[in-house]
Amino acid sequence: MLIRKNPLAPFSRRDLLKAGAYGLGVSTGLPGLLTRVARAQTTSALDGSEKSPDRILVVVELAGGNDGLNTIVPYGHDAYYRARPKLGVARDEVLKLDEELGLHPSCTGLESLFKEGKMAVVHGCGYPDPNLSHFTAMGWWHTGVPHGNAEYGWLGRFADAYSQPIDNYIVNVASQQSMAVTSEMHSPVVFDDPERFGRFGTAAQQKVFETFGEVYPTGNSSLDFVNRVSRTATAGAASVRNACAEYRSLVDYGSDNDLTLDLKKVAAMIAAELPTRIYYVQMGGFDTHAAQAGSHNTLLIYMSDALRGFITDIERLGRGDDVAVMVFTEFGRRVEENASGGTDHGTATPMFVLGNRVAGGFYGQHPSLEQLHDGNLVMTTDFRRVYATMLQGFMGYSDTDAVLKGEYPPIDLWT
Amino acid sequence: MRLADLADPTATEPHARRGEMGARHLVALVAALVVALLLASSAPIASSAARDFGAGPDAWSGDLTPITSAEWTRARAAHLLERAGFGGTPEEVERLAAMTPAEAVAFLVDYDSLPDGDPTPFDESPIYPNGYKFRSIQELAREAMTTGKALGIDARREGKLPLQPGIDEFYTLLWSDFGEIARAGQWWAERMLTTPRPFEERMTLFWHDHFATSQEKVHRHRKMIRHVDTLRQHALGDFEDLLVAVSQDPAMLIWLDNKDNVKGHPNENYAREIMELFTMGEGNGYTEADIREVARAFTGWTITEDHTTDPGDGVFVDRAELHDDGEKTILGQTGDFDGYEAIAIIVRHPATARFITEKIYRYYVREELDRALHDRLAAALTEGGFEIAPLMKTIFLSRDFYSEPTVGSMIKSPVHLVVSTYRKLGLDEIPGLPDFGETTGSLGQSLFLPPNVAGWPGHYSWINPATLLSRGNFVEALLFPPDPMLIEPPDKDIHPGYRKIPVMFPDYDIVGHVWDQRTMRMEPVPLVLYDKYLAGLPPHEVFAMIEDGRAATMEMGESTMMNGAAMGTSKMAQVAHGEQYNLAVGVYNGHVEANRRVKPIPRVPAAIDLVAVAERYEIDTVAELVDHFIERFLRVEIHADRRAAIEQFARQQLGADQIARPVDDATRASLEEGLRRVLHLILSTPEYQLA
Repeated sequence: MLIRKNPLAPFSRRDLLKAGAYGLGVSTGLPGLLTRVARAQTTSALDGSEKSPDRILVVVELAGGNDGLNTIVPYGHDAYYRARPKLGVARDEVLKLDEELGLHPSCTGLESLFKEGKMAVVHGCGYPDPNLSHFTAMGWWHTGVPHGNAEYGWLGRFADAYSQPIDNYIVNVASQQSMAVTSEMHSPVVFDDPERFGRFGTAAQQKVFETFGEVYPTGNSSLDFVNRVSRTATAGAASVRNACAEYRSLVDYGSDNDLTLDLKKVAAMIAAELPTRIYYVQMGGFDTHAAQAGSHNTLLIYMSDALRGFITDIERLGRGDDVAVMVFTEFGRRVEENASGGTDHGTATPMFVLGNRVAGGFYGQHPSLEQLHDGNLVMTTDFRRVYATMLQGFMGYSDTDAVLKGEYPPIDLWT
Repeated sequence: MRLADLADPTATEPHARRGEMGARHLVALVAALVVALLLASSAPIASSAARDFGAGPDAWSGDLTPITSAEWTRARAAHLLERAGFGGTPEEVERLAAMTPAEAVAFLVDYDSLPDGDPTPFDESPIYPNGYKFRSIQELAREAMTTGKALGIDARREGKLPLQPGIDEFYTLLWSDFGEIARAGQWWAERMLTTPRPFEERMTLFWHDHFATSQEKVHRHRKMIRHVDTLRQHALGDFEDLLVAVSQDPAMLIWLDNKDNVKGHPNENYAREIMELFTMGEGNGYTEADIREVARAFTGWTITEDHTTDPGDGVFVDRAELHDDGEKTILGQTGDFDGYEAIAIIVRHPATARFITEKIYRYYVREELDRALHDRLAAALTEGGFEIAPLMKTIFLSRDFYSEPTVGSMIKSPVHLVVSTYRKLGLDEIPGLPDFGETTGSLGQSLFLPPNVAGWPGHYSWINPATLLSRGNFVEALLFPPDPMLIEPPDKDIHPGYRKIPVMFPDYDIVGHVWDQRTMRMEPVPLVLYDKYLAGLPPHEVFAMIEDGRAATMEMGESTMMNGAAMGTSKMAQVAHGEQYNLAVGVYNGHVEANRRVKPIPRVPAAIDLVAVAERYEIDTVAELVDHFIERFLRVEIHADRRAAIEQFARQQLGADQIARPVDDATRASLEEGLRRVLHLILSTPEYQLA
């Protein structure tokens, strides 16, 4: 059921599309932006205020609305089983984390991370007056401005504030650029298959292709845009390809699936010491309206094993202290199961933060299972606080109010 | 003009006296003759002067005044054909250029008067041999358990996974539908390529984007094909008629849930989206209350669908008993409105004319729409009774359409990029290599599968580092196709994640299959060999090993795939054991059977002959070659540095600045390759992405 949008905030989907929910706003990189770059420099990492120049943020997006209640299972509460007589995870199958909460049995990978103190769970993340449409809700998590009209993504704005444009600064492993990394000054490297991320052709042709990487102002703004993307593609493709081709890991990430394969590429690029500071990957399939037991089971195995494998791999590389992972989804699901063996769109959802520097455990307050709003959980943590947590607490950037367009105090979940 | 006047146009000395023709004058005379001949011919001239792509004076921007015959040029005809069609060969451009602008625009827009090209109907695969019976997995499992039958087959068996056959059939139907919709995409592309009415297909594609209905939820390919047919039928007529037809279209009734919108239990999804996305635009004058009332007006508009026997042929039906015929207030008007009346009210709201004209303008002309121009276009649409054809003629004839901000300013959509490349090459069928659906899908656009109800955002979002490189690689794959016998065709490929399922569950004796390009069948492969295939052994070598007997003597030795898979998926295996059925097994078996049922797309490479092009257009030098390609394919000039690099490459590749005529098959093949390499470079440029 769709919850009514705030009629006072004239959020226009068309404007969001125009601004690039699917990926506008590529770096201009032209001399005219010198003032902007100069401004960025005074607040950026380069003036020494950066906590650590080697910090790498990995954001994992679960698309479709992951069912938080069946991931972090409130097995200690009868209300959960009353609402989910069929879909509720049986008490004797839950991987218990404390007396009230546990993990879905598929999440053995996350369980080991939690027990090692490397996993923080932030309860009940959302925002006021939530929207239940995939497109709208995900758009707001990407921009970090719910009910608003932001032109760029939250990671794009962070990158612009934190650093002057550096090639390969942001890498989005996907076939489509995410709005979350869309930035005014940075041109994200977007690719899916590293082997195909380049121009096929003879050696002599490659020389000509190099001229496609030059940017010439032409007076045709569309052509200027394509030229800028061409420059990023030309500069980024070789390093990405080489990094992924050379990488060998002995760590088990579980079975191959989209998330595993993408996180392996991230590990490869970290191993190759690319200058990338922001990696963004996506995993789909979480919109479990029907027959959830089977599909969610599989999705959680994939997700859990992939994250466990990635953290282990990063440690093996000696970069365990430098990398942190944030996992989110655009909304949770309804408390009550539906008649098709699944759940419908919901609201508040847990977010996960993973890595060596994390002080593992539960943070925030679990939403009430009984005081609901229209059958949905009421949020207890604004998701932008977790964004601030990553940017301030881990990346060491203090002016998150500007990036997040509001005051969202970070949560202290770091060691 | 007498030749003598041309003899020495830059001379400052007086002409030679009559009777005295010195050598210098003779040379100048010959030079002048050559210049005159070149000027007179239509062959492109290598010149350093800026090439004309048709951009008019600055003042033309925002001006709806029709251009005159005196202002009609070949370049403008090419621009029109690119925007209103999919571009064309030099001959097709010249045919338009020879008409007056009004005739040319009418030729494209009044396509009803043209032959339709006798389009071939979609050639269906036999994907429902057991009749079509839709059930959810739980339903069919229950049915199989109690009756032993489900989905028209014997769904229960002895031994392990007793209910597996029904699950296999479920996934077979699911994957078959996706396979069939990919074939339907290629079939539609074929029509775009060969139709004598390119604007008909452009407009149909525009409405497909606008009404953004996806097979992903509709599932049955027949419904999707009929949906697009409905759009085509009403593409240029009265917009209100189009809205009614779409609102009653079975695919749309499923996509936006109006089939479930009934009296007492309204479903607002369609009411919301028809105003937000299809007519007025979000926030442009309707309220939540209007949405509720419009939903009531649409109650009862549903489809017949007998889930037990219907392969997707459900039709629209207006069930009066399910219709809420009470009084409603919609956009300030009150009455016991039904769906027709709700549509009539919505269409006449001023926001609709503005929203639709803006959408059309930004699709066909350019992104920035001047306010005054917008007002005029909206007025024109309203005063024209919402007929789309006159609006399109106004736009295509206007000075604004040929103004500098417009020409060369649009980024080609993936479908446009591919189809226009083929049209400009003069192809008469869609090649099977590269695969059409894989190509456009990797670039962000799959026909019949818009990403969501808002359609494809388009414009700048088509271009990111990956898609830009892929656009060039599409050209490479087109011009240098692999041997069809050695490829794993994408329509018979099984996703890497699912391919491993036979080795993940060795206890279930799942037979691994590989597509054989020679027999055009999914062939069973012994597990030991299948394991090697997963590790990278190409299919033709797999079959060679079976044929020469090597497979029979293979042992399950150090099988990295199986060991790795077993280690990593012990969790999954535990979950699977002891079950009545296994979904992962169903996914795999369904893929194999779907690959059997769905007709394969023929892997015929493109019939391109660039040597013939060079001969036909008398292209003798590298500069002429590059000029010809630019004029034929591009709508903006390539930057001088890039052009210089391309010409230098061409000279090295072809061995000289002169293009030698081939004397035998070997030199012909070598020249063909060289010409293709040059074309590959030109069609990989950033400039080629613009229309």
